[in-house]
Amino acid sequence: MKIGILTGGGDCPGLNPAIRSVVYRASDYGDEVIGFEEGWKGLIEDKKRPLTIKDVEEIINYGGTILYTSRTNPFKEEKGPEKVVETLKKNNVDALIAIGGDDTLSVALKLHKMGVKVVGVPKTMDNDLSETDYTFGFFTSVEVAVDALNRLRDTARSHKRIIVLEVMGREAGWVALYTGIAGGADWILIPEEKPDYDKMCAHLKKKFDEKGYALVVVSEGIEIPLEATTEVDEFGHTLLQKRGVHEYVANVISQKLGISTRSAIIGHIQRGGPPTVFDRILATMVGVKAVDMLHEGDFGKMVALSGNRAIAIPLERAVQKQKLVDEEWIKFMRIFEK
Amino acid sequence: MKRIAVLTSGGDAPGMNAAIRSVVRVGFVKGLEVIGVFEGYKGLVDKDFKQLFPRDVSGLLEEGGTFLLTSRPEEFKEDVVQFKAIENLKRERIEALIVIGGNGSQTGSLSLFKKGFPVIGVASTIDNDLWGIDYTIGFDTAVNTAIEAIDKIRDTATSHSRTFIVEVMGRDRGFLALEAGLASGADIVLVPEMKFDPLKIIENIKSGLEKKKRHHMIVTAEGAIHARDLQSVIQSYLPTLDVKYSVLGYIERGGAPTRFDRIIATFFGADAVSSLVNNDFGFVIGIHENHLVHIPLEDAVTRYKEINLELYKIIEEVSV
Repeated sequence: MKIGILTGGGDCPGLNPAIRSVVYRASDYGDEVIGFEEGWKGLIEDKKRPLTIKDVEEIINYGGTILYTSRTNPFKEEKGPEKVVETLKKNNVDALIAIGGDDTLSVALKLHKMGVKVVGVPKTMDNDLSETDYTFGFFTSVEVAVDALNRLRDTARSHKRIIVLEVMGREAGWVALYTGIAGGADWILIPEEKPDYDKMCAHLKKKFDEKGYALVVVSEGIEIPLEATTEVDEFGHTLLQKRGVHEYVANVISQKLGISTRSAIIGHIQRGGPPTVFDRILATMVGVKAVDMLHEGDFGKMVALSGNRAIAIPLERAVQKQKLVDEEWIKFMRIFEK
Repeated sequence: MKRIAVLTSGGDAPGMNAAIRSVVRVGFVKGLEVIGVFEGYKGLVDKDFKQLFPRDVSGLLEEGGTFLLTSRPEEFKEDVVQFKAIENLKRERIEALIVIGGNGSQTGSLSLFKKGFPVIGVASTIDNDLWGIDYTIGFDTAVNTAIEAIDKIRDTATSHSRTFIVEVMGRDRGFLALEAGLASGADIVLVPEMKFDPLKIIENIKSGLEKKKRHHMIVTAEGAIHARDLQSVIQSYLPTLDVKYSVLGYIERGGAPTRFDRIIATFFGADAVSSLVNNDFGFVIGIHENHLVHIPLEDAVTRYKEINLELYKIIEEVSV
């Protein structure tokens, strides 16, 4: 079998271990692997290179993706899908492994419906894919955010300040929730809940009086009035970087409480760096499973993590709805608002 | 000398705690009473004093920030406030003061010294902007933190074939940007000390694209140009280029001090105490060419520390 592989969407730690794992497992079946570069763009423009164990054996500890990535959506390009199919045919590719987030997987699903033999491998730092417990990239990114929060604690305490840290996550609050809980934040703002600034400020005041500082973690996706921009990317996502959520929240706090408040944003630092052990193992597990699925004819499906097992589930179900922070988690979060 | 005080002032820097610890413990060994002043110069005016013993500073070596807290009170620039501070010190029978901080804080030290109070400065700032001193406490950690962040961003920049702008701290000075840029393999570094030349940046990026560079990394000090503004500038010349930015901001300040900062902080603190015991004061303690130096307070804060143009040149050469 000749297997094509690509990474699409935002990069995240774990992509390289996943690519590596696919190549290793493929060799068990005597398969050839061909890597398409820059996500779907590589399939539209026929940019590729063969991948052997030699090419991937030393990449397990690298962040980013050796295949590069882009946010190109073939269904938004003229004759995009046709070009993808043509490229696959031209390169004698029997089946495709698409590694990416919900956008990449939606494209994979559409191609599957057009008859392309494809398996999806989910990737997202945001942890917002339903039907899978976790995706690789998430824990590495939370690790980076917790490290940043720890650093901010030093400055907040030294200057008797409140500091607000903005983390990624789009419409899902998972990154903020995990960062806040693991980093011991005093308040966490997530998009799943309408912010109650009065309640938050009352609590921050109490914590500030008790210990001389306070820390807030805010998800980039929370609702703020007067959005600074309506710029969107090819998939229709608002470009969140320009909204200045952290500045807005810091302003609210300093105005309501009159306490010196500063803010910081992690932004792209969260995307890179060597994957953590969990993400390396998870990426390796799902890579192996993806190749097995191709051989079992499990096309149009995605690898999911269920407990500690990699299982196949229909792509349709995976991209149907976003996994958001639910009531149970919010109750859990509340325990630490004391 | 029987009784001395120590305070931290201005922006917090990793290693300040290590310096306090050294002052307290070496002071104890030398038979001095060491008084901690809380919240920098503010505590001096408000008489926020507490005697510190060796066990009070346990576990502080690896802690970022400063457990004595810090402040930047505007009012401390006034003579009457400074006189009040000296009066407070004298009333507490404190004979000398150790000020751990950067340029602004040592300007305060100089004022107190000029008014006749014995002061020693300990160089500590992530800006590294004290004349005559190669490295101040906190600078090494801040540079390392910035490098770590830029390394992560490079993964993303390469994966997406992007031009990436990373804004580091440095309102007036570019020491941090320069070293972080060099050590993280930045293609372009912008510092407040040099004229901003957009065309040169555009040329650099264009030639990089011709050479098939996968990404361009630009490190800018906040005082040179803000990352957000630079993004607009670059995109006005190269509209199709994928340009993203990241502002490291306050994340750079904290964290456990590096081995270098712990060692110099411990040496500086010990030397401050020994100097006071020998009735020697009126200077800032720093490191120059791998030796402890005593730079007269006036020189340290009023003379201009030049940036190292050699570093600038080599950044251009190695980013070919």
